[in-house]
Amino acid sequence: MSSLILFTVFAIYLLVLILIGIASYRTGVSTAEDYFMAGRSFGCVVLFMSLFGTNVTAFALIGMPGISYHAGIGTFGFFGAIAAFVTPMSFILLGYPIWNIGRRHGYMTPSQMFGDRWQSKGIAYLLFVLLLLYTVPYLIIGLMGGGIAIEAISKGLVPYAMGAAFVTGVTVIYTSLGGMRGTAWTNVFQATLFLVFLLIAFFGISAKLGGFEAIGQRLIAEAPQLLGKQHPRLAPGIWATGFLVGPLSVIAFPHIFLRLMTARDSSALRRTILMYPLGLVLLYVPITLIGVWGALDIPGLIGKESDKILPLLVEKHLPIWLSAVGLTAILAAVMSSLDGQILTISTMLTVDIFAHQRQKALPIVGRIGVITIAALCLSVALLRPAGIFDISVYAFSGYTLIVPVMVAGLFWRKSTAAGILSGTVAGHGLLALYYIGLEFPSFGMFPVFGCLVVEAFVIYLVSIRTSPPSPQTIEKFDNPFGKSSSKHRPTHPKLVGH
Amino acid sequence: MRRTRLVTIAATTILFILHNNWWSWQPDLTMVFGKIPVDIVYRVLWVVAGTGVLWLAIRAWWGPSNE
Repeated sequence: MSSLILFTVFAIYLLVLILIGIASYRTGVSTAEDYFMAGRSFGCVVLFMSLFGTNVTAFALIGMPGISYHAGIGTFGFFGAIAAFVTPMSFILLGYPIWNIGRRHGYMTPSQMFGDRWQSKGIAYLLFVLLLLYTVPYLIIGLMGGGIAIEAISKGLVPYAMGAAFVTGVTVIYTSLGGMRGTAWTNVFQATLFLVFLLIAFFGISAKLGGFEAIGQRLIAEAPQLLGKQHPRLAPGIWATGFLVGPLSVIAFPHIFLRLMTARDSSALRRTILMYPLGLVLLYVPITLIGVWGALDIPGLIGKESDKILPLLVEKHLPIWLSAVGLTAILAAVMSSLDGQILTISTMLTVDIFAHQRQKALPIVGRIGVITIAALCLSVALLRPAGIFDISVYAFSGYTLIVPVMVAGLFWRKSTAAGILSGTVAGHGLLALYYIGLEFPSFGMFPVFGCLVVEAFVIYLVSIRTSPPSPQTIEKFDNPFGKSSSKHRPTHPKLVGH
Repeated sequence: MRRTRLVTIAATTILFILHNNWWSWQPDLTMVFGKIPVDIVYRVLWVVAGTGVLWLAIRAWWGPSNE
């Protein structure tokens, strides 16, 4: 009976996704800009849900309660509160200029925009390779998460490999059919699903545990350490630089970069930014408290075992159908990021590598790209490589090191191609050396902080000794906060040198 | 505009100072209204103040809304 309910909820979820994909396909996709950027037409609600759904991964529903189970309520301040401020602030100071200049000149990808900024093929290809290197591991982890979730939903009836293949297949169907519009509409559905589920689970579990007041008294009496911020994971140096690894890196995720450029106008972008903190509070406060309550209700989980605390609490206290919705919500969080990443890599390959194709052929190239990338990543996911998780931790810091390139490109007229190339190689090289074992003093902070300082210093030092691009090139990036016209002229995307 | 930018930068600095883990709070063991841990309430209020600073930043860098 329980398996039947689980399969029914799951089947309805997948059916809705495919129907949304078909509906967005029927809306009509004729140009590259329509397929990859949805014609830059998203209003506030779709833009917000699309950014939010893509930004929130399974970490929020699995990893974060697992951490708060051990580290306590400080987890919200460390991950949630700072992200609710720094990420939208980066959208204001960097996202708006990216949207504005992207709209002005028809840019679609980071490599295209910043390669053109310094008239440098080298920068374009370097960014392309780095972003690919940092995004692909996430994609593979997403597929692995999908396989694991389905195996859990089916209680082992559907094996991991078949589950991962199934998630890939469904994601490919709606992503290749609907492009950006399809993934954004499905993100609205997916983000609504996991937010609503989380709020129901939050109030449902608290009621079963005797209400907020009773839980509070138990916490003070039985586990007061969970109410403080003394856990080693929340040490002051790590706490102070934590915003560099998570919240600041979001603007450099290529799937977020592309989605920001789909805003219809500055008003949609502004409202989205102001809604972002509320969305993150609604997500992270309940999930942190659920993890802490779990430590009281189901004590004794060691290490990564605590990652299962949300499904365990839901299974223990809530009806079976809600348990089924919960597992589907976890899958929704996985897939809402997965589709954005697959589409983004396809966009990067199509726009940055195959831009010489006819405009009408680009959506077809993009669809082939979606299928090829998904198939390649699935074949790696089936091997379940253990080292992939270490690479993904490294990738977060890597994204952060893209930010100085954005800042220099948008705001520093004297920055040069040589400066950017050498700074990028220095920063990312140092980070790679650290992760393969080079010891350097980090003074209790995240190591990316030192890499960031080195990168910025090298960019500055080399730039002041070399010549910037021509004034005509720099002028294209002038006035990044200037008012954008409500209509823009779509341009055929070109990579430097094509 | 320049003045608004300065106010935004100052407010952001204050927010970063208030977002820290340098001291251990004794009120940690207190529940607000007997229900919610004090640190959660503190951080939520911090986000509310942060949203105000975001609004200010939009005005400071993008200019006033046309609506």
